[in-house]
Amino acid sequence: MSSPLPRRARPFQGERAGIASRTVAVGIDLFVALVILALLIIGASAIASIGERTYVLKMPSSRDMFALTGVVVVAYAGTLWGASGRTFGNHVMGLRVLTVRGTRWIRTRAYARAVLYWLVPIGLLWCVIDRERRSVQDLIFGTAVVYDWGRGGGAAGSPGRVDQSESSGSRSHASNTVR
Amino acid sequence: MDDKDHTSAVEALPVGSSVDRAPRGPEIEPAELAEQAIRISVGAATLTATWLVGALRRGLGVPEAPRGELRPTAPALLAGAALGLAIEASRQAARVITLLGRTASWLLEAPGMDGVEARGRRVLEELDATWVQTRPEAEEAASAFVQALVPAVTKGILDRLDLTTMALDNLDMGAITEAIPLDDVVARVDVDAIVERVDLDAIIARIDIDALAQQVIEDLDMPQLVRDSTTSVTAAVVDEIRYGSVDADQTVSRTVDRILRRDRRQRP
Repeated sequence: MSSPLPRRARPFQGERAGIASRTVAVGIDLFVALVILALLIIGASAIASIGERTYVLKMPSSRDMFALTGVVVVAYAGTLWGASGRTFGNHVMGLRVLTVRGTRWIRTRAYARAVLYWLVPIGLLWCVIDRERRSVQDLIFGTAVVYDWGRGGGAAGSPGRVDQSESSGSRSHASNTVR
Repeated sequence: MDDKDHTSAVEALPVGSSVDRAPRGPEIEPAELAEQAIRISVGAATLTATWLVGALRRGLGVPEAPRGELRPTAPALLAGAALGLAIEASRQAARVITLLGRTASWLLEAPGMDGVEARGRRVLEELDATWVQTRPEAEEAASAFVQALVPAVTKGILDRLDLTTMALDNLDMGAITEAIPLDDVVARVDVDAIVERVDLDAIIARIDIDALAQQVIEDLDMPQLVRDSTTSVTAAVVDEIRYGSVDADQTVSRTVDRILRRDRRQRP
């Protein structure tokens, strides 16, 4: 998105994102993961059908399907978090996952966070109650999700900004209450 | 013109004491007499000049020009010019003398003057006839001289003048330009007629339309244009979704804070 950051969106850049934004992002990511999964199944079936007379769509068993879906989700989300801090769902919703202490993302931490989300997705709900809007996964892996529309208007995206947000939370919140 | 002896007539010109011996002839206007005298003197000068020109021609080895086609040589031109001038002068002088002559007519009306008058008149008429005979030639020479000289002189003067510089130095171009009614001039121009005369097809044929179109498309960067417009529309939709989600986040947070009786200002 090359258009400049709208003036209206500037106040909350770098603020912690709430449950609504994150849920929508997760929904988008799940959709993307399912599309990838479908393509994988169709592709695998096509490969399996080579040499046969007709194309047969071979659906995995439900247990395999759960595992396969988990692999796809973890591979998809873990890879993108480790690379840029945002999945496609995060990107659409203008969110970014950052480390609270400003440390660099470690790939394994990104994958581990993705695994935990796949196994305990309900952990996300903790951000509703948490004062800092952090989920269980965030608390375990020292991460936070902030608004970052990624157009250079907000100073979000830098780990330091997250730290500042933590240390001067009340001031940041003041701007939130305006809305 | 009669066939009297010219020489004796010239000798008998009414000069000095010889006036008394002249018999009284028919009556003559004194003014007319004066005009005749001047014309005659001019005629005599013409004859002299003609003779001189001829002599010069022979001396310089210039071939004799055929009659009727008078080629002006330098001496002939000078003489002719002088004579042309003299002819004009004589005409003017004659008028003046006519006036003077009328006032002095009593002199000639005195007794014993008739003979002198008659003889003098004859002589004058003889000489005048001579002049009248040669006059066309003299006048032609003068005219040819002027025709040859004036363009040469004008050209010489113009060659030595830098008219452009003079005009720039001395003319107020602004004033001149202002004085020109340009609107009127432009109004008189028939643009339609000019356009009609322009061969538009030929002009269009000379334009490489393909290259031009290619250049325009390159300059416009159509793919970028499409990308930008698509992006801006998409961005607007996405922005609205984001605003909605941020509002929802706030609403949820406020509700939770109220349920938990938490001071929202303390929440980071």
